Amino acid sequence: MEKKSKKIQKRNKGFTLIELMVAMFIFMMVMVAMVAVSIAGFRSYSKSKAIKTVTEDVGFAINSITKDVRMGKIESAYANGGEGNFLLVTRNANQTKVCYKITNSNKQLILVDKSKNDCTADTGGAEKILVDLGTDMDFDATSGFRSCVTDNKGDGTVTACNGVSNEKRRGWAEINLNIEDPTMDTDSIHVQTIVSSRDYGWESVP
Amino acid sequence: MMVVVFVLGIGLIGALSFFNINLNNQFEAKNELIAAGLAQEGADLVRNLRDYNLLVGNSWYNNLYSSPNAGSSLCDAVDYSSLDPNSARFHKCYNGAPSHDHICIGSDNLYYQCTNSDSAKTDFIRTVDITRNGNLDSGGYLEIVCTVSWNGRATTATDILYNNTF
Repeated sequence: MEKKSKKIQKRNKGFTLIELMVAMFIFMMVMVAMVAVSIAGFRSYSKSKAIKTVTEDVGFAINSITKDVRMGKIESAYANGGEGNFLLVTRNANQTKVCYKITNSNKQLILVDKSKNDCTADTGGAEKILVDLGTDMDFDATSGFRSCVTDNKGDGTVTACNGVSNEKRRGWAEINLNIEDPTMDTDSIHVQTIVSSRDYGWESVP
Repeated sequence: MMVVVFVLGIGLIGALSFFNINLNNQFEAKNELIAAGLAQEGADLVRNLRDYNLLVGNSWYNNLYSSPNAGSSLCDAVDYSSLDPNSARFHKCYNGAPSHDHICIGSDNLYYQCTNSDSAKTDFIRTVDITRNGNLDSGGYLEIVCTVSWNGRATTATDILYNNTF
């Protein structure tokens, strides 16, 4: 009888203070680890989202410019390796001039329809942001274009193309986009490529 | 208790590695885009050399291939300096030693070809391979393969050049 009573007493003993403290310590450690993982996860997610957005935007911009340059006639020219902030192209289909321009003020890449030779919009021309800047991305000051006209219509001002005459010229455009996101702790993305026009202006040769 | 801690630990490691893999994938996508641009640039620069030859009346494969029906490539690497009239490499490729197969980035944020010893080099390596098919003076063509590699990965841009401006 006495033995049974002792057994019951032992069973109802509960936890000691030391056991409780150890359990709470382990629990705290697990909770801290979980919070740290969650924070790291959120940071990783927002960082990868920023990189993905920039990557997709740059891809879209490059593809758009490439299509116009390949199929059209390059009008803007920066002689002797110089660089400018716009690229002017005439679309062969309907002779519409379009301009890809990096604005100095808000660092956006925009597309100007029906642009004049200085890249300002004609009456009725549209100016639209080519790349969505919803995530605070900037085209930094080193972004720009180097280009050489396909056919300068005989004004003789271009020296970098080096054709045999004003009419027989090759046209190329170097696209140099450097994009950064000042709100994110991520490296800037720098994409550089050269695209040649397939329109050499031969039709202008007498 | 030990079992609970073990299960939680495994869960935490799993969650961490998931985020890590996701981030690495995004970095890879970024590098893929940069490499694709560089490969395209290399192929188009070679095309520009061919165009220049045609426009000024040179042999169309001048500075690209040594002989019309034999010989070898004269172009191991090329960068935007081939379009710069102020450069010693104007209308030329890099060829032979020292190998300029690495990609460096300058203070103006432009990528250029450099040697392995250049301190500005990036992870990217770009090479140009030119293969002759047939007699270049009678209908033959050059196949251009520009390869950009980095961290064990690679992407290529291919072009076929003939004795015309297409």
